[in-house]
Amino acid sequence: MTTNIETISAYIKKRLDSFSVAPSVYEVGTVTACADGVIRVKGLPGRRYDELLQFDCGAYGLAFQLEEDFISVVMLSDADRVTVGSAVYGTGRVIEVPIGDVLTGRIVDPLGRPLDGRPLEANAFRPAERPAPSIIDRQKVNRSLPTGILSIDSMTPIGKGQRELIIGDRQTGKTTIAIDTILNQAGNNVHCFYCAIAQKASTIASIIEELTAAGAMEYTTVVATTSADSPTLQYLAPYAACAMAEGFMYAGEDALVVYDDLSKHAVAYRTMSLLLHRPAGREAYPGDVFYLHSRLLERAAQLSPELGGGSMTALPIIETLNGDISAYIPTNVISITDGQIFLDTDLFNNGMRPAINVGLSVSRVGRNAQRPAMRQVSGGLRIELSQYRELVSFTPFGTDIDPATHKMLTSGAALTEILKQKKHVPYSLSTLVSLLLAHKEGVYISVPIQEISAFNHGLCAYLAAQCMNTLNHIDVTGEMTDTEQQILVEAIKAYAESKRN
Amino acid sequence: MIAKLTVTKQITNTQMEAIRQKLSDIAQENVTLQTVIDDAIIGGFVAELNGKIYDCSLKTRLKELQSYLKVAENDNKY
Repeated sequence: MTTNIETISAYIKKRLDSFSVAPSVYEVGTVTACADGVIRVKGLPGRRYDELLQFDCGAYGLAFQLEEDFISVVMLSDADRVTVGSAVYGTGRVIEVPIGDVLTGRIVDPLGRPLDGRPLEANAFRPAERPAPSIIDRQKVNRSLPTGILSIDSMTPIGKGQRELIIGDRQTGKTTIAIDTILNQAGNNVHCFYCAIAQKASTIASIIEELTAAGAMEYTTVVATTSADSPTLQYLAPYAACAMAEGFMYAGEDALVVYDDLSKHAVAYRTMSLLLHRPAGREAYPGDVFYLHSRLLERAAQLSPELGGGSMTALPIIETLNGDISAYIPTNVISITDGQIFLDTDLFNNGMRPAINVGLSVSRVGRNAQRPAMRQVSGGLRIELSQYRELVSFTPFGTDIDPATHKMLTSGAALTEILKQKKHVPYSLSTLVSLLLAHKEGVYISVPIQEISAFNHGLCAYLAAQCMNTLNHIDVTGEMTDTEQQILVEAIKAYAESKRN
Repeated sequence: MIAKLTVTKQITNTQMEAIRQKLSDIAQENVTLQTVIDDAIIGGFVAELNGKIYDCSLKTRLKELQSYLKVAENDNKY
């Protein structure tokens, strides 16, 4: 006991000896005006752009505009506690967010403060704004990020490290696709981040409920800002989520970030810029609204093996008005991302859900990112669908249809039907492959459209009973040998035969 | 130029002159001191000159010592 105390005192004394007694010298500024969450501060000549400043009342702000004699500071919170004449100090720091496993399963705000009632102890931090990985730091995207949604995985596949935009009008299922992708990452060792930018608190709460119910919170972090939060926090949210995901990416692991949605992000940035009297451009957005999103999305990448081979996949969401994808912000983000999934209101209202417009959706990374089993069975689907759509526009004319055309129409209608999927039920690779094999074999031609859903249900159950080993092998390896394909095809034909009788 | 000086109790003229002289050297012009008594700084003094604070208070010293002791010897915070 005594030895312990002696050792500890000796240690403390040693530390005291190496303690320097220099006085601290720091700058102090004065608040000269506060309005609309923008504070004008006089003094503080040595402060730098984007530096974190601390006010007398304890609140923090960002030095967002450095002018000759004053600094315009945007508050991160508690803008109403700042009084004119109070003191402001520089901190020499930029915004940093916590990174690491402490974030898993948590709900945090863009500054890393917990919103779920429990304390958050982090020991590693990263600046929210960082340069994107350079060209040399990257490697080609060649690993699949399966969404479990048949339409996407077969025709617009997403790879790890890709940025795929989900775009559509309100209430077309954009968030649902993102959530289903998160749900499908169970067991895949992908750290998921859902960044809610200026969403309704009730919406965020229901999303968290859905994620929790599906067990997805075991590998997901929610970075939440509601529409009641300051525009500054809304502006920071995606950068914070990106930095948190980067923590995993540079540690050699895989991360997925959903930005829901970047339209509201652009609006928050526009609010801040207008309040700072920055010149307004098209649609009153500031001149650097492209850079706002490009620097965020460029940070998603597949890193080279030298850097650990980790990846960050980004799924930004943009809301269009009246399906106008040629508006300002949508065209900006479309040109930044590696493809888009376009959700159509008309398709949605006609019962096609997910309402993916296959013609307008594209993945610029494409088939390299598909797993081999999927690549084998998904060829020609796009062409078939576009040919079907062309034919359908002629059939109302009541002309006599030859058998070949009739077959194409039935097959196309069946394909459209099997692309429908219930929400929050992502399919495994083996299920997706089985459905596409069944389509290839022409099994659906003899099934009435309204019975296809029940048919598929029965088919999956039958295959699970008959070919469990084959299905498991496909799921685990991502590949399907010719023998396995044969086994599945025969089982599918047997089931179809049994249903016909 | 005016500098604000915070001390815990009335200091001697010699001490005041020494501080005033040092601040004048820093400011490169004549400095007059405005003294404020506040024992919240525990000891030492705090001088405010031209938008800069020269914090030589015991309170800040003790706070820095506390953070310093909490960090382990070979700990690299960055």
